[in-house]
Amino acid sequence: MSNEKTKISTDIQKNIDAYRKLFADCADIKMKEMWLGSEKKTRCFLAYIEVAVSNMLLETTALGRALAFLGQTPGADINSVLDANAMGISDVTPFEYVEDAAAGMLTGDAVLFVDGYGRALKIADKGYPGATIKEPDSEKVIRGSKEGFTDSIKMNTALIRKRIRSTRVKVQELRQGLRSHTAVDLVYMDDLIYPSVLEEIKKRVEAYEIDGVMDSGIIEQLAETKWYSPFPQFQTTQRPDRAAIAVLEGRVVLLSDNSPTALILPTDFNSFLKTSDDYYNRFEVATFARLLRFMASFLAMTFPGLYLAVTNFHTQILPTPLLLSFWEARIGVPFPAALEVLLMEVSFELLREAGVRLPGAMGNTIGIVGGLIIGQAAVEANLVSPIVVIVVAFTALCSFSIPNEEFAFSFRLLKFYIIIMSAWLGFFGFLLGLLTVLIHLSRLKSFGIPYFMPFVGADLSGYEDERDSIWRSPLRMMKRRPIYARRNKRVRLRKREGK
Amino acid sequence: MFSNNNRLSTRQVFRLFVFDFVGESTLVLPAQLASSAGNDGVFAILLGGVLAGIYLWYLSRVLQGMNTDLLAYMEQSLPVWLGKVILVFLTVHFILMAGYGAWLFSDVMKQGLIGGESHTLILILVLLVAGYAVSGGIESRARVYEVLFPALFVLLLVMLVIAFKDVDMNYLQPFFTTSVLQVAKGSMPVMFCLSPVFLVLFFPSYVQKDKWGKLVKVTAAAIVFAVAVIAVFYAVLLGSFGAGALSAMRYPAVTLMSSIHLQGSFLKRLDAFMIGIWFFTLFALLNVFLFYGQDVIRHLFKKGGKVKRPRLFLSASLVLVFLVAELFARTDFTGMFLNYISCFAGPLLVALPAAVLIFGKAGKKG
Repeated sequence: MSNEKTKISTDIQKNIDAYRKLFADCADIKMKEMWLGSEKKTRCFLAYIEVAVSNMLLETTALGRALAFLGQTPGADINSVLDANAMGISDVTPFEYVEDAAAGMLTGDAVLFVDGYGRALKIADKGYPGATIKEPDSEKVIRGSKEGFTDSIKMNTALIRKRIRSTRVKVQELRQGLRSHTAVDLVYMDDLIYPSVLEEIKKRVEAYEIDGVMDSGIIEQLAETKWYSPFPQFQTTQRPDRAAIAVLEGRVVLLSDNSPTALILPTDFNSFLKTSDDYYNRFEVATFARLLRFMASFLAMTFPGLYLAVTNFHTQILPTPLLLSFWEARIGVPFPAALEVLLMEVSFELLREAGVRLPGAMGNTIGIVGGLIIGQAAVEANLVSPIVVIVVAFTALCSFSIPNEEFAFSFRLLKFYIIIMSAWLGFFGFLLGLLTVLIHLSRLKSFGIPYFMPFVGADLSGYEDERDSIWRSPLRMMKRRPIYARRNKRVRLRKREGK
Repeated sequence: MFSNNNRLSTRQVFRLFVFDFVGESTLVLPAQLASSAGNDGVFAILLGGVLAGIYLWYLSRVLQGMNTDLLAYMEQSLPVWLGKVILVFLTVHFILMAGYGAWLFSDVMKQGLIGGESHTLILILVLLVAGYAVSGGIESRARVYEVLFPALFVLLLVMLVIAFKDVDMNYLQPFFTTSVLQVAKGSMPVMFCLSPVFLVLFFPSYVQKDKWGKLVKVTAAAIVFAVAVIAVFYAVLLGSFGAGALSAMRYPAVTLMSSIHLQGSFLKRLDAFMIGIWFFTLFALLNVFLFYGQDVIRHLFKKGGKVKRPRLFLSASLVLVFLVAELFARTDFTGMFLNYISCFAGPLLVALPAAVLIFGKAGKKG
């Protein structure tokens, strides 16, 4: 395909022909010819995507106002009005080439060609349709904003800017996807970010050429260095306040058009277990909640394996009455304990998957049918023991307590690895599995930050980051930003003098 | 960017050394000390600690003279042939030590956790995991133990507190019943368990130069910490079993774990969980020598300042460690190993740093 561009001509017919050729067989693109000027003798050509621009061209829209204004202007003055951008509207972008004008139109705005004027003008209108702002389902909080990101990248950057009204917040726009031309925005605080980190992020985002970017998840997978790891190396959020906190910490928020999920980078293990309201609540409450989440993440991966190791290999550690009740519960169950646990875990994952895919009300029904009715029936039919149902249910509860879905998924996957190791080698297998995961985590880094930060390498930030780990210090003691911010820009809280 | 520098913090160095010191010493030492020094074993531990401290002081003086790590200094200052001879000795020593660690690991796991499985299977699995850990470099290794440190030592403390109620004070007395010679003899295995302190000579390349002074301090702190843990542990074991019974046990710590019964608790015993402490500490011991073993082999075969195929050297090291561990498991190699340590490796590890420094200085002057 030729990369040569067609210069916009002062002869409007040439422009119309070139534009119509470009958008041949595109039923959704509306192209209208009109006459402007007080004498109605200046020919113009308006092109737009059907749903993205108001068909009525109402006075209230920028496009409507512009056309109305040009309709009153004498034909001889139109070019000078266009040159001076004196139509009384703010968002007008001129283009020199037909292809650029087409690309501008595909962002959801209208493009206007005027006879005798050698440029095309992009005039903003309502844009593509998109979902409205609502609270994200996956990151609900008790205290704090109920706003969530939408599919529109412009809306999302605005939601961050609304929270940090500073000129130091910068937004760099990149285009990704050879065919989709998806807008990707990097939002960061100019004076806090390490320039080398920003450069590295840009390098990684632009490292691959792909035909289309439909969600930030595609960029995430392509930009990760340890792509084979089950653990996400970019943090995700659908909450603008979470993203704004990250920007204030000196991190970069990556927004992708058509995706309500923002990526936060660099990140670490600890960040995945924090929520926005950890910072809005008192430190005791936040610390307790974090402690629960850390325990939950550990048990979500290990609890079924631990159960198998103890009941199959190390029964001596259980008191006799407990051991007997375990044994009684398993009477009549035809499967070995390991298979029983695996069956129940797979069934649970199936239920979960079915619940997610089904429409809202039916999803809830699946939970009740699966969890209560099938579970009860399986126990009564002696297919599984009630203890295993409890173990699987408790494990599920733990995995639901992890605030980040991608992160929770890592533990759910590794749970099967630990189950297999424990079923094979008992507590030795359990420990070996755990050690492998630990070694793997210790090898992970996110843009040079150890994944285990601040549990390791806390000296890099003078042990300040430890104040915001499992233990969340009282807010007035958290005076410094985490390691992501530039070394000389880490102070974020200080008492006003004389107060 | 940030931490991509292959550097360790002093906290990481402290924790790495503690893991290297504590695993083997809490498992193997008590029985040996009970047989040689009886109730005065604690003095042997303290004496061993003092000797390790003196050894560390001596190593720190050598480090000052070298102004870099041992391998770099050898490369810069020794004739190639002499450097190669020393590297061969270090390779043999580290591989033997790693093999010993691997054997000890598999033996304890077999005794305490999976009696039915073969040594070979345990060895293969643990060496695969160790290989994975070593391939991540020293930073990754340090991070694992930095994370594990609080959890394991809290667990150890809990275990000691629980075990303390079974301590019979009569077993701990009387003191000063053994001769000074016996106490001195008892301090030798303590010194052996603290001998990984030699590895401080390798650390300068992994620690920022302005923290070299602190490096020696944290290593000394690790020795003090380890000696305290070993002494308390020995006292609890001695109080629980008495010197006579203790000297006849192979792994008294494992026996102690299985003999603790918790009253009115959800769990009756904690032995399976507590063996986790030795799982991680013995893994650290195996890991540290495997790491330096493969590192030294890489230096041995380095050409033009570059190491080609590092994975190949790691694989070769794993095979060698496996063979040595099998030798320990299948033959009476332990006696020969102890002779090697006491008659050859021990004295050589004391003499080698000073010799390297003297040869190096002489070579530079020449």
